[in-house]
Amino acid sequence: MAGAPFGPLAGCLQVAESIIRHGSATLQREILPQVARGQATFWQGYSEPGAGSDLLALETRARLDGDHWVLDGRKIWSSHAGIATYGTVLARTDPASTRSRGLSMLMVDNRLPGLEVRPIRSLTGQVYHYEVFMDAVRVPRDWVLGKPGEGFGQLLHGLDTDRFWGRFYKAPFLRRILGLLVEYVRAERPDDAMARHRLAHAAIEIAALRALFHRAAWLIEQGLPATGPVSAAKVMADELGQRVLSLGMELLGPYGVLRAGSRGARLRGEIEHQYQTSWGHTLAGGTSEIQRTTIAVRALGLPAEPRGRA
Amino acid sequence: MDLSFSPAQQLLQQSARAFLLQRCPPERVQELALDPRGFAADLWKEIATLGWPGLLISPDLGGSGGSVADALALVEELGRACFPSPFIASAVVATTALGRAEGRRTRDLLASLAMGERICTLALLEGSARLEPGRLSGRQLFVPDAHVATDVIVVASGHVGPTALLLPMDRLGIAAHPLDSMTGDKLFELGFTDVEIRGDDMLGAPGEAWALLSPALRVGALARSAEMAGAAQRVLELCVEHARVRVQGGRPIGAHQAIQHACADSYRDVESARWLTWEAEWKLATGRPDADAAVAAAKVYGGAAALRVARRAHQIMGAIGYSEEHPLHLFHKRILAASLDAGDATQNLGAVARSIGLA
Repeated sequence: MAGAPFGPLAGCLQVAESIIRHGSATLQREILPQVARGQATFWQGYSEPGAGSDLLALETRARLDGDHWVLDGRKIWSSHAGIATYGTVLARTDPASTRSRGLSMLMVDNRLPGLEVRPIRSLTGQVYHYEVFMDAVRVPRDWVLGKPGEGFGQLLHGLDTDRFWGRFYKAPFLRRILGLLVEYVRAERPDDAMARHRLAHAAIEIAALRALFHRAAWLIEQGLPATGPVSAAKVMADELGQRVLSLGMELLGPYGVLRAGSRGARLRGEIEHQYQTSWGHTLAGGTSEIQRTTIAVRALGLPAEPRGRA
Repeated sequence: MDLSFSPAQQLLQQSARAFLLQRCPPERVQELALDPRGFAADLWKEIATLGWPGLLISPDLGGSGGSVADALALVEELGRACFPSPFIASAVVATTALGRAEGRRTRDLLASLAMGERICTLALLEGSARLEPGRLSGRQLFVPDAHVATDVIVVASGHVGPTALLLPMDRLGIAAHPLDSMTGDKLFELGFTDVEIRGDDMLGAPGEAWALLSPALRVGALARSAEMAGAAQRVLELCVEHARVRVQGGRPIGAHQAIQHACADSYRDVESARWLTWEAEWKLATGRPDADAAVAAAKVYGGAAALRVARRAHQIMGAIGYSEEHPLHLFHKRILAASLDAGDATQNLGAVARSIGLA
């Protein structure tokens, strides 16, 4: 990441791949050419107000009515939903089902009547996430990825690559931040042995993070199970990100909190912004706690923790 | 960058794992650790017939001409078994250094090392060894396995600078005094009392010890990183096995999030340390300009990560892991020893700091 604007591009390739593998002919004809022309972007409709880490408690439903699904529910924390063109929405399509069964992954056009997108202003002062309300949204019957009822499989299949691509940029990104901090220390506190020591440590951790992503990439490329390394890389990326940005804040001292454009701002005010966004990364795409549980149960084979009954 | 193992490396790892599982179980490691002069002469003979000490020695001297990557693949397994031996000092570092030097003596020695007939140790550290014309005096510390070594590479200060010498351990005036280390490693102080030095004792040019030895020590640092990754991987497996069967409060402790997350963190530490080591190997093998810094980073990170895994393991295992009969402490101590060998964190951090532009 050379610091270029970061939009909803990240998900395009995965959704396109998913449509190629699991989409109907209609869906492929409609969306793939737009992806190729850069006209289609996507949001993910997974989390709900009552279904975060416990995603399978979701309440969004879709029922068949002739040639359409009628979709009702509410999704939240969907990145870019207000500026993207389509969403992949996980909904319960079998009303008798519970948990992981009876879910389907529907492709939803943002222009459909009954769909309303509201921005959520985050603590950075900017809008990245949206809440999506769906009130009797009529989705064509063949705009479903895979077969109805396969939604959870679709979700899991995409999750490793989503998490991989969602965080792969972070090793080069943190290396760039480190480079800024090195320049700052060289200019402002060249004799600070402690700063030098801590930056060298950060460089080592970033190199280890990159190695872990390379390992995950290799496994994905070989078609081998990558859940363990991908989840481990995500946890490490997000926690290391917080540490590196905190180090930046410390090194800049009172200058660290000054925003871009402020009188006195250093390093283009970038540290304060990235510092704040780093707080969200250990939550987005599955919290670090969920990632650790995933590693323990799916990669290491530890027994699942008994689930409480409401 | 290709992170896949060659079929030959996979075979080497599989056969090493099977051999060590059978011939070097934790009880044997324990026995060797507790014996102040413990050395598995039988195993050293057997691994010589398997060709391990000759892995990095060229075929015309009786070795198999393997690569650093081949050696790392094997060393991961040695770490996994916590195999106590002079392998890294003799078959990796000394062998690499000797392979870079000229002369009949080094060739003869390499041929004997490949057969497992001789063992070469290193006397490089914390010493006062001083070379005067024709004589060596002083001492060096932290010399591994001097009680079983037949030869030693000594770095001595001299009027032209640090000079590497290759000496037979039975040269008159050389005496080994054991150090008592908590790691179970056999470490010695090597004393030199007016030792006669002949012309062909010089290893490389006088004053050029580090030019000769630095590349060998870099390979040694990689080998220590691989050893730690292998040991940490085994520690993680012990933790997971324990967490699955140890029942408290009506369920396996591994079904508790606190234990699961500790295991997950160890998984991250093991995987990242392991692949950082292999990435450094790739950089070294392909002559990347940042290879030295990558090796240093792998060593620092590998040590810190493997020690975290070991400390977490004590927490997961509970009291049983604190007992001498449980193998955990053997791994912990091996990792600790490896982390301090071949350049400790402070030295390596300096190399990394320079590589990011902080002199």
